[in-house]
Amino acid sequence: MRSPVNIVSSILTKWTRIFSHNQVPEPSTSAGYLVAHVLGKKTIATVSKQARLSSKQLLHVQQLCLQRLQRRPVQYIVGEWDFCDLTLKMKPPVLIPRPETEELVHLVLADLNDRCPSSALIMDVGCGSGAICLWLLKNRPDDRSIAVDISTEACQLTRDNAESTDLLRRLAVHRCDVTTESASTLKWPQSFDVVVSNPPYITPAEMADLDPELTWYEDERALLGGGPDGMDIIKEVVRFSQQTLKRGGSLWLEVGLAHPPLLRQFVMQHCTGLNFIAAHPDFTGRYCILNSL
Amino acid sequence: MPEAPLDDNDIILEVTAGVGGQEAMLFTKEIFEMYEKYALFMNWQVELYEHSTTELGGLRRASAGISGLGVYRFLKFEGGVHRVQRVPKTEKSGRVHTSTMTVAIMPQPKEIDIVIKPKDIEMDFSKSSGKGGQSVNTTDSCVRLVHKPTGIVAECQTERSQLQNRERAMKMLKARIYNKELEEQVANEWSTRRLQVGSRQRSEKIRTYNYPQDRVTDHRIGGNQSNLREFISGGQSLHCLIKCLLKESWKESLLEMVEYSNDT
Repeated sequence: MRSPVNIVSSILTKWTRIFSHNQVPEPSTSAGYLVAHVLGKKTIATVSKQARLSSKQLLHVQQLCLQRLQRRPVQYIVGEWDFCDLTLKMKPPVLIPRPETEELVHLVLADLNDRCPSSALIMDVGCGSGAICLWLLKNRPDDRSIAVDISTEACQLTRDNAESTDLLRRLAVHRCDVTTESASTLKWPQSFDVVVSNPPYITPAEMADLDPELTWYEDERALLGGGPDGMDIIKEVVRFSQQTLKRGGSLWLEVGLAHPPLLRQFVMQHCTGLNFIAAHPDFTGRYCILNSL
Repeated sequence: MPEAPLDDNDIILEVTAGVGGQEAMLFTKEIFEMYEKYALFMNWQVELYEHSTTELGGLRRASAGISGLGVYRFLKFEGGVHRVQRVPKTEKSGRVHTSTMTVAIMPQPKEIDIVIKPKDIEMDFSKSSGKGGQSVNTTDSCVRLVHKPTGIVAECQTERSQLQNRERAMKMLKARIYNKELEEQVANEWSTRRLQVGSRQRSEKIRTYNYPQDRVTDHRIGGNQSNLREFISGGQSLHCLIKCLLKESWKESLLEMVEYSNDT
């Protein structure tokens, strides 16, 4: 008996149409990832469009797609995502790594390989799922890292991801709010070769425009930058790094597009001991390097 | 056997459906799978770059990077038009149809072989994420690169990571640019050899797979191989034919050298 409704191409068409009709962003990409996941694949690229799904699989697709209809991000539905060549668990409300951060870690790696040929100590401020510190540790086998985040869920997820990638041995994770007085008076040894951070940097105006994928599911503390220009947390991270950077160490930041000139000014006026090197030219112009003098 | 200069390069394998509609696309899928299995047989690494499937289960086009020992050496004569003769699954009257597909084998350039200025490359990401950044969640990681001076394009969306797609698209782009340069060099050379590589081969019919008669014929060295199913499974049978082709090619180049020295 022919049953065309259970072949992959029909399922994709159906759910793309439903997502589209309900204003779910990236309707066909979403459908592709969810069907691929049910079939045990990462992407729909290699799935045969003629493959048939069992009734159990059809039900599973439906369950996942209903979650997507509620604007749950695909990464949270699937429970994991790839950051460069690392597969990491994803769990709400911990921020899902953005593609721009894949570029950031490559820049930091080049800097580390240049300045610290043997081993280095890395601080990841606002570690989230652990993408930054874990990727760096994986690519620099002799380095150690301390990762901090204001969120207990983020710290736990970073530890889980460190365990599943076999990097926990070289990583210590601490729940910590770097904006509080106690953070800066904590005896962090001034021994970090690199402090790297992708802090929250969204402005109040931008916050109003965010999709439900972010506002309903991701931690607001990981998004809201604070202050009219979204720079508050960035400035706190800069202050914090003044206590923690070694002489000659670097602070690497991923910030909003409008932030590099504002940050340059802030550093010049308020941060003796730090030198704003550059907004690293790249395809989006959002990476800043500061050097500790 | 002496090695040609590009023999130890990694390659990009590209397959494209030719004449024959849906049947050609099914055949393209089978040939692509044959080479995937052959890569496994030879202990090579395969990275998928492009895989454009159709509604009815066929393959319109696909690209893969293959790396390992001697990849170009063994696959270089696989480039060209492959032809299948059989009764298509959808054919009701039992008539044999002929369909075609094309295989292109492109050596991947080494670092020193090719210089591409970053400013010559235009990079396009998914349309949906706009400026990107923290304020957007995106899973559309498709990357499209255009080499402005030549107009050559490469696109990849086989991975979840945008950076991985970009790296693969870049490899494809470099190989395509490199091969364009290589072919321009070779275009001026004249050779009577039956076994050649390059853009001329793109339109040459090199092999026929005849299902009713259960035989594979390579048109450059003649002779038939039976047990088509074994052949298309990408194992020992295909490997034997490839070794024959290499031996023939070596003989031809020796002959050419002898003729050349006789003339001078």
